[in-house]
Amino acid sequence: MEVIGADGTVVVSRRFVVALCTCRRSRSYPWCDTSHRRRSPPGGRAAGPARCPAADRAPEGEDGGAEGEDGGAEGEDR
Amino acid sequence: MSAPAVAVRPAGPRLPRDRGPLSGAVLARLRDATGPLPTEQEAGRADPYGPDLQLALYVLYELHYRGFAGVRDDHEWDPALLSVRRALEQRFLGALRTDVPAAGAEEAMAALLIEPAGDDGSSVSHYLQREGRLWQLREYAALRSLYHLKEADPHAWVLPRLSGRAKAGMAAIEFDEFGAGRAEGIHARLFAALMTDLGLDTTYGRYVDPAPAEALATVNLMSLLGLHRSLRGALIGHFATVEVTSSPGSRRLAEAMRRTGAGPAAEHFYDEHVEADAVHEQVVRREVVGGLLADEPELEPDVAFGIGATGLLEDRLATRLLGAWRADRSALRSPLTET
Repeated sequence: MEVIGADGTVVVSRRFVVALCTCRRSRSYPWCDTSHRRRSPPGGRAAGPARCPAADRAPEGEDGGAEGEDGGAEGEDR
Repeated sequence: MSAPAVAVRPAGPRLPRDRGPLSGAVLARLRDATGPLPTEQEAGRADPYGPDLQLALYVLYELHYRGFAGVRDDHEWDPALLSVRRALEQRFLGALRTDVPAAGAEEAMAALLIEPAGDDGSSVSHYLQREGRLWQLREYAALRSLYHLKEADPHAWVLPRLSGRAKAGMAAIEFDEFGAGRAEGIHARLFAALMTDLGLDTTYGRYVDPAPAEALATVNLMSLLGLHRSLRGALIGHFATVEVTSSPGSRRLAEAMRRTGAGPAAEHFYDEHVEADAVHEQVVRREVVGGLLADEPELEPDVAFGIGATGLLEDRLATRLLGAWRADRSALRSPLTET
């Protein structure tokens, strides 16, 4: 898969699916690096279900829809 | 057993040293000694997370991967050893079932997707990113080599037990883990290159002896879940946990490698996982977990259990590592030699 940037640069990925960054926070742009993730308040943590409030939810607005070549396109979370 | 012409591995990993009566008896049997194997009662009384049980289980599981030098290959299916394995597994699994809090898969998965804004002091990758020293990164790599030198192998066992979207998604991720058709891209090989940068020995099984029980338990969980069809839901929950939490953790570890000047291959291993696992996360959640639960909705509690068990054992390992490192002590059972 080739991604052509606004400045004309071309980046190539040979992965079977690519995850494109749409939140612009990735440090591996144009690829997603999960920087979009929602953050817990200081002192909170993400390791396991035991300590995480049930009200917490996935960062993406829509979930489970996109498939195929751009199946990983990321939604913004704030 | 006296079958003729049984293959004995001429080379291969060396058997580790025993850590008590359970592992001692299992190791003796692998050396073809005739002493008694542990009984179900003895296994049932052992500390389920302790060094003796975890090492005994680890050694029995290795028969399904690479075996050991000088050990008959067909010990993998020796009914007496399988019977011991079952008793040890029941003790381990029983403890996990008791200690992992019940949760729904959706809730457990959502929790994984939240990154702590600050470090609460319990995260190994945060610690290593911020203040990890080279000797600590070496210890970390030595411990993780127990898994990373067979990265994605335990999860391959689940493939025949899946169908449809779950199978296709899982196979695609595994294909990526195994180098996407290129041997030089196999993640286990990338990890070996990282170890070389850190001056570690890349021999498979080399760091089992120095690995504490907490490290063995994280790998034993994968083997346990991978080998049992009845635990396929938990295997998928475990795998999802690894893939979903990997990207941000790998980012921090890549920075730790850069800051300490560990070397280009050491940086590359974690840089590759930042990007690869951002993709794997999407596929594992939508296709693998989503597909499995669409096919077999009754497995939902098992998926959640796999997520919770992984978190529990990773937390135990983190406590061990950070406790030692903050006291300026080795987290291994025996410190690594300088290179």
